[in-house]
Amino acid sequence: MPDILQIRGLDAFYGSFQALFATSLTVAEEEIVAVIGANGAGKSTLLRSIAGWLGSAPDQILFDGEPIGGQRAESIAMRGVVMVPEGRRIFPSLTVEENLMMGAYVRRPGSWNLERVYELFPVLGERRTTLGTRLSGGQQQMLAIGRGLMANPRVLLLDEISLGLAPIAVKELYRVIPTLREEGMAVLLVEQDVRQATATADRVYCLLRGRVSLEAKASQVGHSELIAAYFGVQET
Amino acid sequence: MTDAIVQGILLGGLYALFAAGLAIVFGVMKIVNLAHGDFIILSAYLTLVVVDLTSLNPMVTVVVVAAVMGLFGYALQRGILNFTLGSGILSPLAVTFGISIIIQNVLLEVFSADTQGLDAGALELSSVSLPFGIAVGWFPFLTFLLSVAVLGGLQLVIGHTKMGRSFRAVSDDEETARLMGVRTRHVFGLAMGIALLVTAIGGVVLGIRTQFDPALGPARLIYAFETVIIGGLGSLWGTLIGGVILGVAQNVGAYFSPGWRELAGHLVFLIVLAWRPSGLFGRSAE
Amino acid sequence: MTVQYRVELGTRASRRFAVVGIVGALLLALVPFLADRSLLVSLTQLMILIALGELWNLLAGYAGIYSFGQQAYIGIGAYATFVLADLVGLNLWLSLVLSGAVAVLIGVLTALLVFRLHGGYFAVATWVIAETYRLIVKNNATLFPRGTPQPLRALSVLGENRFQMVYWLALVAGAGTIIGALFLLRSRLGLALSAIRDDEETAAASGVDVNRVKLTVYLIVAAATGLVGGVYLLNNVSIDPDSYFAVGLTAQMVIVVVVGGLGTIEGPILGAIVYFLLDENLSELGAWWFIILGVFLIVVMLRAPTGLWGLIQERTGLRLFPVQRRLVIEKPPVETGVS
Repeated sequence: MPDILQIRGLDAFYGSFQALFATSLTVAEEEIVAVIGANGAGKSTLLRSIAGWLGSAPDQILFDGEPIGGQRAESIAMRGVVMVPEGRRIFPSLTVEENLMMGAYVRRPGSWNLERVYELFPVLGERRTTLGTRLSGGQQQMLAIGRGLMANPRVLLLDEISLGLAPIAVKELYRVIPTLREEGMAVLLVEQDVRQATATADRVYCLLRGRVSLEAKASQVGHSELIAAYFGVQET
Repeated sequence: MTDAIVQGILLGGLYALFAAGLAIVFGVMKIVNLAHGDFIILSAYLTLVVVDLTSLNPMVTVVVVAAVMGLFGYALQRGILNFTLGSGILSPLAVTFGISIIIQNVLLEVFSADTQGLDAGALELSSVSLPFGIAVGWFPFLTFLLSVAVLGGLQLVIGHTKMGRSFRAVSDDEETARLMGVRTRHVFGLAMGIALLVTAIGGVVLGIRTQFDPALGPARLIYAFETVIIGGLGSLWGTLIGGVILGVAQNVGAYFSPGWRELAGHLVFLIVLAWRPSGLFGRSAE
Repeated sequence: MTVQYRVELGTRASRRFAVVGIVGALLLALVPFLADRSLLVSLTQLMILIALGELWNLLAGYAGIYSFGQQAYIGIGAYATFVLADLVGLNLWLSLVLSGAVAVLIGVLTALLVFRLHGGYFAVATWVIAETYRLIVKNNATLFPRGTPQPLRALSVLGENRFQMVYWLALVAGAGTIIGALFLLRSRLGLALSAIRDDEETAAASGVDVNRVKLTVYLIVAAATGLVGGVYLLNNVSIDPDSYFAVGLTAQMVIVVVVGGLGTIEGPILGAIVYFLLDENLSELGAWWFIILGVFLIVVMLRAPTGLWGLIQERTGLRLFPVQRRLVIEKPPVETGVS
């Protein structure tokens, strides 16, 4: 499969603080890629840069071979690169259904619609008229993912979807990710839960202090190798 | 006294119209438009011109004036006001303050400081009898109904259209709305357009009710602001009640002494501010 | 090995400028003996404008307080002077000094109400309160009998020296606000202010009582604006609520500060001079003069948000009134191998 998303030598900054250093990464079509790493390794920064929340040089991010780095977040979303942000970011004054409809704001063509999201997460259908923020944490994360799917993305960026959730809720969320691949979607997910990430993804990248410390097939990555990349421990 | 109260209630509808535009702009863009009152007066003058050209009743030309002001609002937001966003609150305040100065003085230059009025014909003279022996003028009565209808329409648009949904989403969380492909600069333009459209209707009604001159804008801004704070943000019906409270306070004040009209309104506003800074019916105004 | 350093406030330019400033102020103090009356009156207005600009700048440029109701304190200072001197019969100078105290009292009352709101809503709320004070005065038969402006009769004690005395007062007000602002910004309060300006939340987290700092600045500025209001009355001779509580006075402050340069001490001085020169030459255009002013304000805000002084500073690096502390390292650290 050809690469749908290419990150090439990406630098990212918060003011004068540099969070990513020449990071490179690829995601192929219908591939699930996980980015792991400790707190502050730059995982979320990576997704924020791709989604257009943070600036970057045009050539540092290619989507379908075209440079999209530094474009406005709304333009990137319109192309089909859609992020489910960290912390879910449900619109508090919108109902569950209205939150989902915001996801379909740009009306990209595709098979995802309200019915299919309700099929995937039946609880959202049951509570469609309640305010989105009244849902439980796990349900809110379903809503955030459902809202992302409503855009019919070609690449779905998932930022720490397991954060602060009970294990059972996390399992429920990760259940759906392989089905997204079957729909022809590519998924780039950022995760602190290494086991969950390696179990779900085809390939894994590990970030350490803003740099890629490991790239491997998820099925082949060794435990000690992973530990070393994650914590930056070196043989002395 | 009863008459003063009834008239005040009807006046409150107009104040709610003034306030709705201010509240939308604050809700979506988080800016206070200091030229808001001058847009009200500008709409009245614009009606004067359109009526002059077409010899139609001002209540008919309101459609044209509202449309023109709506387009103007969109253009103003895209052309100037969007550039004031994101760098602190002084920029939008100073720029809209500058716009206020410009509008007042352009009106002064073009129309002079003389007072003007709009003539709505027979509508203004006849009165309607309500229960309890109260008679009110048809026009104030109709404008109250019009205000309620406009606010209801606005509520429908904000609550049940894609545009309204995008207003609420951007108001909640602009960054996340952009992840859904919402072009916020366009949405801000639409919000200012809708705000000035509603404001223009208020301006036309004001022009028919009372005489006006170029300097009346700032006081209308203050009435709109007081209405929003009394009613509380987040609910247009709260805004209507806020307008009614202000209108009644002003009319009761004027009933005791003509000089107390505005003062009574300010005092009620200050009491609400001291007692419930988030307004009587709203979410927090802070 | 320790690093040797000292903390410096001044720059070479600023130390030179301090000398120039002192000489300049002395020369300005001599103006009444050299200039004719019309120049004296003009300079008095300029000094008042500088003072008002510096005061609004302390609020907006340093404390993040955007008040569009500062006309309240001009009106209150002026009316307090008028009431104490003419109606109570106190000595004129004592009345003037007390007007600052009255302004603080009213400032406390105002702050209790408006500090509940933030940002743009705060701005309009301060304006509403100024309007409320205007209407209270306007409806009071003692303060505003028969709706006519009242002359300040106490001024007669000054006789022929009036213009000189008022000029000196205005000079004290102008120089006083500049020096006062300089000292205030160099004090502990000033440090807290710059912390707040950088990041309000971080400042609060590091123990700065943000609200208290803001309130303190607000009240200091209220007092000073009240005093300037008294001087304004002495210069204008007669008083009425509509012109002393006019939002146009705050408009002047905003224009002087934004055009000159927000958040610098030099900015309002430059802004006041520019405004004053333009006003002298263009005010006969009437409405067009105000249209030009409005456009000017918008263009500067959008194109050069640091104002004219910001543009000058960008090109020259000039800093005449230093308030930032700079670290001067006298002996560089020796490499110790630990990095």
